[in-house]
Amino acid sequence: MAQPIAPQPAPQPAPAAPHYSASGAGVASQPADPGPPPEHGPFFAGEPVSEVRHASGPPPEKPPFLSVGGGAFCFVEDARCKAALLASAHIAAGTNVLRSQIGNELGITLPYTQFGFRGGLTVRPLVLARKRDWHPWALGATVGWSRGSGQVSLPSSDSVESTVRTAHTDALRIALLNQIWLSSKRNAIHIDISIGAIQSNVLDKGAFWGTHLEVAGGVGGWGALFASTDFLDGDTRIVFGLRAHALPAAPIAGLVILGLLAGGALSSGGAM
Amino acid sequence: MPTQPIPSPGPQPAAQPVEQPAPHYTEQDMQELRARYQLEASPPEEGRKAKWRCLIADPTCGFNVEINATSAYALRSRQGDAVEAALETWHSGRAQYDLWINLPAATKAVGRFKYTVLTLGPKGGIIASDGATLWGDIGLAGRYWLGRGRWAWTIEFSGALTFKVMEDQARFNGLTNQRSPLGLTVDVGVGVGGFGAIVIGGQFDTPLAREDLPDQERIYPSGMFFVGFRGNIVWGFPAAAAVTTHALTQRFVNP
Repeated sequence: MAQPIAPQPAPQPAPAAPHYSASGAGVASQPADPGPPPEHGPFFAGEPVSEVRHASGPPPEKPPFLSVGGGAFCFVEDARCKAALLASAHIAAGTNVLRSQIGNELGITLPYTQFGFRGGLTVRPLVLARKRDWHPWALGATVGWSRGSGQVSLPSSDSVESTVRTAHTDALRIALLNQIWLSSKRNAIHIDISIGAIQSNVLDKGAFWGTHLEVAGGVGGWGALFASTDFLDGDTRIVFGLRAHALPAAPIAGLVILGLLAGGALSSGGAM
Repeated sequence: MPTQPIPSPGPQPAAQPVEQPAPHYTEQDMQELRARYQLEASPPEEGRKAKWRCLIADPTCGFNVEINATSAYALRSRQGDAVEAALETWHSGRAQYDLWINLPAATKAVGRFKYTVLTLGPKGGIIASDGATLWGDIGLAGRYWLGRGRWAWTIEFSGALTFKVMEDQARFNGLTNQRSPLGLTVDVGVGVGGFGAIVIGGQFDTPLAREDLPDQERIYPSGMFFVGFRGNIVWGFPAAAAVTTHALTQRFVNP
């Protein structure tokens, strides 16, 4: 006769593996696995632990250069800034394409060079909304002014007008700026895309409104290489240039102007 | 009568080892380890700090931004009569102000500290010469450190695209914007620390001579060779020398 099988008690669950807290305080008694961090990838990685470092320069944990509130607002833009001021000067060179027929004149495509200044503001909306500790996207608005080389048009064959030459070409630009920062480390590289409007004179026809587009690659807030185009009616400008923060650009501009003044170039009726 | 076997004493408890506090090696052990791998016997605990917060380049700096001023003698040249293949040359001066953004391209570690061996990065600035001519330049600059000290020898090199931005134009009664196609300038120098270097280089301005252009809009090829001194403006002398060179060139050179 078969013996009744006595019910066996359920096996006890294995004890939880000891969980060592990050602070090294020892084994936690009732660990709750926090799960993986919500962010992944190179954008969100902090500074790697390193046994060697440069002896000079700010340590990674220090707030961004020239910032207040631990990076809440920066005067020189950086990866860890929640909001930042933009102030820069640039030089650029490219081509000015004039439509071949402008009224009774023949536009000439010529090389074009310019210098200019730009100011603005950038913010990190997702960081300010407290949704992230850090986010690579920053949004901003900029206003800029530039002065470039003049334009030339020739009279058409059946016109009695003379050749038109302008001394310089002034432009005012207003743009919306989108930035993607490729790292959260100090002086990180970022890609900027700007879309906006430009008001500029075309030959001697007066000022017109057009479209401005720019793509730039920058190193922190110190400088950027950019390529931009301005589309006006019958006038297109494509330039490639370098933009520098006002902090280093101002001494350079000051020294150049000082040399011109001391050399007498600005004193005798210069028609700038 | 059989004797009782002598009971064995049984296993004795092992003697407890005396716990030595960490670290379980002495400084002499560390010296032997360093000697075995041909390392420095007593590496410094604190690294040497650069002066002026890396505004002047230093091997102990990783990333840094600097402004350099160059003052140089320039032998300028310009195309003369194309029929006779003439070349106009004249003695002039050159002042150049550049912003260098130095990224640490190569580093080495000694002890617990990293030292930069090669910096490379974008640069841009303004070049000035006689005739109130101002060029812009955008390019690349690098510095190779031959040592780890503040006064170590360096080899500096840079190359850039150049373009005229302003010039004294009689038809517009003075200094005004000027166009030009892209030219090229390169230079190489030997320096001391990040303070200054003797540089030698050249610049070539490409021509603009399309058939459809009026004669007044044509730009003839020109260039220069130059030798001079380039230094960081933080310590003053390079900036003063560059401004003086620019002013004297402006006043006394009239090609």
